[in-house]
Amino acid sequence: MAFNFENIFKDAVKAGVAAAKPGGQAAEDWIRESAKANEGTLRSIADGVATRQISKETGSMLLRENGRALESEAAALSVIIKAAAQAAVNAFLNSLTSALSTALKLAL
Amino acid sequence: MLSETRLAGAPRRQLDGRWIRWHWLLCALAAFTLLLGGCAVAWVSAYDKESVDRTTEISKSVLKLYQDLLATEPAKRKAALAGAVGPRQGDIESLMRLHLLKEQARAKNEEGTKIAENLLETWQRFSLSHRSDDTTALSDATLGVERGILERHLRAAFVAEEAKKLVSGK
Repeated sequence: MAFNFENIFKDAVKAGVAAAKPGGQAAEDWIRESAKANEGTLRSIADGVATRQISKETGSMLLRENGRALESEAAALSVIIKAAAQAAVNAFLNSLTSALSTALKLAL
Repeated sequence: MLSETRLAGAPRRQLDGRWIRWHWLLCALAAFTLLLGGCAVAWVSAYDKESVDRTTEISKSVLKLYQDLLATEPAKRKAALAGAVGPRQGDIESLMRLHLLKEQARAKNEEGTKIAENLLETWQRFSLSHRSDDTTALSDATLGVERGILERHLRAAFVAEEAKKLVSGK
């Protein structure tokens, strides 16, 4: 009786990669959306200041708050990445445990 | 006599050695499997529908207030804030404070807490600006930008919570 460790690890890595894929896509989409929103806010502030609809003081305050919004978006991105990594690691461990248990049962 | 024993014993000892190595390998694998079986990493808090519901409630109130302000004639906005709209600003701040407290109470939720903190601080900053003497503090352009920034905080809160569903593959 010989264990095929190579296949067991290959399958576990495959399971991990498959579990990480949705998170990778979600992170990519969120970065795009965040960049677009940031651009829109900056453009609106610049237009408002240019047409004197927004004073320089209010414009500065809005710019600082735009920075804070970016911080919130970065925090959301951090959650997406952590959740995707967690899903991948747990899928890898589950696959490995299940394959090793099966192999052990066959060996004993 | 001695050499006979050696010759006869060698294959048996080899077999014993192999059996012992195989036995140890199985034991080590069993221990490793048991150890792995108890392993699961947790870096983010579990998905919380109540958090999404609170964010929805805050979003509705914020968007309605800005909609009402924008629907009011610019010259009358200051008076509206001093009158009927003022208490609504306070109510929304209370909702945001409660949301922050609940987010702080959740384990492994640094990001959710950060977003709730940022939302509250931005709201307070905007509310303060509305009471300033700056004539553009309540212009269409300023209110439009403010609403956009608040929406970004709220969207970040929704996205962060929904991302937690990735953990369970839902």
